[in-house]
Amino acid sequence: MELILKKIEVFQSQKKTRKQVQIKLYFFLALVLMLLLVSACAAIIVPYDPYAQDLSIALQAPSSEHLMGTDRYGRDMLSRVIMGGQTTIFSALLLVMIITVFGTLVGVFCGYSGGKTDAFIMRVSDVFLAFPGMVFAIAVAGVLGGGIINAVVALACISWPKYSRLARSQVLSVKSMPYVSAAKLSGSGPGKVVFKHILPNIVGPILVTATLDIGTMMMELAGLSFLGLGAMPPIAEWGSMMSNGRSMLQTAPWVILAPGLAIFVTVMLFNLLGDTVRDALDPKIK
Amino acid sequence: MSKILEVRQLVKEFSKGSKTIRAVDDVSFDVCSGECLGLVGESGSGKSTIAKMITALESPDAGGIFLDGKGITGLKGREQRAVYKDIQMVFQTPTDSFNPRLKLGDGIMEGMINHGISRPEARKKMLETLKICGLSQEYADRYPHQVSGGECQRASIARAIVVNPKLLICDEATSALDVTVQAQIVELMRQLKSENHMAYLMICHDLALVQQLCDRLLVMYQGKIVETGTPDEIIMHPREDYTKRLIDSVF
Repeated sequence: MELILKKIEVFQSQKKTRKQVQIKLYFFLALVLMLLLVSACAAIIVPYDPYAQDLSIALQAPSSEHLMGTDRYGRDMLSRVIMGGQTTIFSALLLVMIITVFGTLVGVFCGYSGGKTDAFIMRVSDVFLAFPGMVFAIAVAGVLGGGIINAVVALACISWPKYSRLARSQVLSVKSMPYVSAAKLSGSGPGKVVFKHILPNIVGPILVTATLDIGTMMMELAGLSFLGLGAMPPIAEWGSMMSNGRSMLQTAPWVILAPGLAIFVTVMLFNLLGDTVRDALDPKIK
Repeated sequence: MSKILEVRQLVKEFSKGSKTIRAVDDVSFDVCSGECLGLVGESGSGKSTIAKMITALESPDAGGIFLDGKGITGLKGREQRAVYKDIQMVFQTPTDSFNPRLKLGDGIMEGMINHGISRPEARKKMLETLKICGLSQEYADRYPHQVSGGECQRASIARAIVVNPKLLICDEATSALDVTVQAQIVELMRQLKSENHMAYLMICHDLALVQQLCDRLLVMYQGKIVETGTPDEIIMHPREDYTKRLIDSVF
């Protein structure tokens, strides 16, 4: 008996408290905001012009002058990484925002209305889900041509069905709850039922998925850029910077490591934020 | 006594694969003003489906439902919402019947605001009704998960009676609560019954409770009404085989 009590105590102390989660959430939020701020003000804080070429200092190793070294055109890598963050992070955020809002609205509509429209739209989204994502994105980006905006459009085309499926399944489970019936009995119309009673109760999982997706989308955008279908040179973008440096991995590793590290840190940060958001929205944590 | 609700030859079928099940099979009954009508039967006998059809959460396959002589089946939008001024329901699971993201008070006021009552007035009425249902003012600002099941069911009753409906449907309103809390809720209902002139439709499988509250009883079995009468008549002298079995299973 004593042993069981002790075990329960240990278990309870391991359980995250609401306060711990909140502190963690604020910490990661602060880091992400800092990252966003740095990216937004990139043009002001870069030590060198990220586009100025100087072949006399090409491929220099990291030094006190150039903290991350220089690339083959003599451009300062640190400045390019900071500048590249702007392109990569904000296009990933834009992308996630588009697919979250669009996918959720489609899913909520389908789940709530049901019937033939629902079946039709869900089959359409099945078609999108049937293709391997990256291959489809390459095809779309290939048709639309290069450029970061086209890369965002290409990834948006293939990513929204995930959200509509999620939102739809959530709506289906919430739709039959007594409080939705009670809201109808209170004389609320369909709009009010959806936006006041259903959406606030399904937004949690969607928000978590969206936050976790920022990292994934960033990787996919960088991937498209790496393949030459995203940001066009000379625009600083982490994926295309890595692509440019890949031939020099053995001679000048910093050219590929600097943007690679930036992607690694940023993706991890957004993933940690996503995890924490999930914990924070978990009603079971007291 | 005037009839408030008339249900005529109501039919509802559910198809399960190739099989069709008649959940409600040619059911007719009346509810008079000030009356408390009990609807008893085992699970799956179609009691809740009737409640859902009266409140338009399900649409009947055949038959009619009349409120004060006017047909209320197949109404849409504004007309349907007007009916909800007169018909209200208390649900089986109290905590689930309130939106977890809204305060109890807001849930109770929603109906009044939808029917065009101003917010301060609605709040005043809501607090009064909470008091009638035995809850203090603080409960208005609590969330459903912060109160007990019994308290939540009181709030749920408050939400139903705050718009002064003519008919209150209680769909197993006490079966999710434990026995002592059940008794309190029954006491509250009895008190409301003596004070207001609402008609009640009590859906229940607890015969003892029905005996305490109801003036008249309908026994349902496999979608059909098999017996009607006063609770004492039915419990003491059941005519149908099924009713006998139902009573034997309790006593």
